[in-house]
Amino acid sequence: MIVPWITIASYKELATIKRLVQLGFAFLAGFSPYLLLFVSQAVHYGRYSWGDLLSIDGYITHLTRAEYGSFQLYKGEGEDTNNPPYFLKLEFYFSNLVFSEFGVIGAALALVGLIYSISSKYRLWCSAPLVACFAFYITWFFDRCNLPLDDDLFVGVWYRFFPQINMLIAIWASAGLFFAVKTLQKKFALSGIVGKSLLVAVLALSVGRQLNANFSRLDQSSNTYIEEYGRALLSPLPNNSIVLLKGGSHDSVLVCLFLTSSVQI
Amino acid sequence: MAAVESALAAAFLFLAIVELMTSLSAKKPSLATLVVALFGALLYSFSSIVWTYSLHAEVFPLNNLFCAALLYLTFKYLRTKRLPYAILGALVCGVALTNQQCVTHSRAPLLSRFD
Repeated sequence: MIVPWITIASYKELATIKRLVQLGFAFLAGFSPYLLLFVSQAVHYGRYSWGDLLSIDGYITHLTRAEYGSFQLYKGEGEDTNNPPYFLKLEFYFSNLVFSEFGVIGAALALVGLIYSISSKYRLWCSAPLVACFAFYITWFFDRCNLPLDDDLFVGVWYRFFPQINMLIAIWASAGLFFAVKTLQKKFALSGIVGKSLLVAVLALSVGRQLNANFSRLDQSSNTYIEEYGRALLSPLPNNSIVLLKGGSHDSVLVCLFLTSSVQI
Repeated sequence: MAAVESALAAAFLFLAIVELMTSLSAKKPSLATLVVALFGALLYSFSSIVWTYSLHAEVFPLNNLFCAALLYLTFKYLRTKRLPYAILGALVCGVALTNQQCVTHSRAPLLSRFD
């Protein structure tokens, strides 16, 4: 998919075979960890690998995620029986974006930035790929995303695919902020200092709003689960016991206790 | 590790926005450019999904890092037209695909810019 895309989109510039070969080799070099799967199973007899990677069918099954459903997130119990309507998915994404992720201000600035970035021919050459990325994602991927939206577990799975496209929204929000402040400066003859202060004020307000809304989600200051788990492992042991470690999740917890308290290991 | 990857993704996003704004204004990066780039990067990194999943051992933070790196390399190449950035972009494409294949859904159209 990638090589034909480059060839079709840039065929004039790819008149040199040397350029195409260089890019192709660079891509294959990055893709080479997939060879490691084959080597790993061949050498270690597939001790920790997934599927049969020593046969071509097995390798292609692994590569295409056939067991989970190729080109779809959820295999489910039927073909597309659980696939929510496309417009429901769009509404779900945009309402999450506006009311949870970036807020109304961030979303509005992103819209301004999108219009600003495509409003002239000069900017089109760098903004068109971003628009193409976004359009491709919300059409192709959203169509293929057949996770049921009435199950919180699957909604959580789908949330994890949003950040890669929200980066584009963040880029447009930046462009929108820049354009909005520049326009206000011109319209009201504001000085450079006032313009920069406005930028910093919007930055502080938006980020402050997000931190206020989201900080508590990752506040681990009262998280003592690991310590309690470690002490539960040690409590049945008599005093002055010698604990022998050979590596593993239990052992790393005990090492943490050794480093942070008086437990001797 | 996921937190480090998310932080690096935000850093690459910052650099990508600086490159894009520099291209749009055809001038050297100014204080205003740096502030709007910081705005975009922080808006992204403190959003609820990125913030929440930065502590989960999943493929997504690394995938986000690769996506941000691809954006940065694309804008850098578009501005400078230097071949090493295109080659690095192709390399990152390959590595990103080994991590999670859905990077093709969000970044495939960028490859048309590496000409």
